[in-house]
Amino acid sequence: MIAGTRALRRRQRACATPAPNDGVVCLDETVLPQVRDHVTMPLSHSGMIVSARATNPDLSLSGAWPFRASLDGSWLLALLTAIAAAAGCSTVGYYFQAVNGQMELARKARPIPEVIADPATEPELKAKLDRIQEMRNFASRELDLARQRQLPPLRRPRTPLRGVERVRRARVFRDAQAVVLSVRRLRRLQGLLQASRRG
Amino acid sequence: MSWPPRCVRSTTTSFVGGVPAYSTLGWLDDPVLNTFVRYPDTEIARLIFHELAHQVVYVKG
Repeated sequence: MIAGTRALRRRQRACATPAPNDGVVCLDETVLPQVRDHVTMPLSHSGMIVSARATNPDLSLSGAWPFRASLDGSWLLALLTAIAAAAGCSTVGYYFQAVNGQMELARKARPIPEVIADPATEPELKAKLDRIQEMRNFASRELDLARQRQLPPLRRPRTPLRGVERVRRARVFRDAQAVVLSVRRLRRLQGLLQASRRG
Repeated sequence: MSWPPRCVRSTTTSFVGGVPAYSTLGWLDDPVLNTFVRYPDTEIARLIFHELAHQVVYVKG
């Protein structure tokens, strides 16, 4: 039996004893005489279906090996079998592993400032992350690619620039062109100079 | 997953390759991965700007 102990914030269930629950099932409801092995994991009820930890319970985590699904765990076993069967031959398996991988990313990701502040992080990586943050800020500030909290519709119509902003962009563009032109002119001049020195 | 994928086994000309990163198109906060964090700075900048540009341009399919 794998029991979840992390209910989603709005899905706490009132249990008889103030025990942890997974949002649907209370922990004390999962302790049954027929169940041989009992493992708790910090997962929500539906989170267990897609969790790599729940689908491959490992020695160090569970302390109960071999893992055996009991009568009450059979729904989980059936589900896993169905998923494994589907994984072999259809796109369901593809999406399952994609979702699983994405969840693993989300679980393991740490905020960059936290990694930088961590004394265990080596200095080169800190410097690198620092520069990456600068790149990200540059993208928000100069390239109009700000972090988007709400979901963007695909092919979002670009709002036309107006007034000062439009003038500013035009100026930036013209300046960039001028730089390119002057670099070209310099190169040509350099070439001429070298040619005259040789000649 | 069966390997190679069905599309490759069929008669269509296919190319299977890896990508260092992908964008979830603003649905999630896409993390910086340990697999590319040690790339040269210019390459990381290119990667970040490319993936962020998917907020504006993405061709489905």
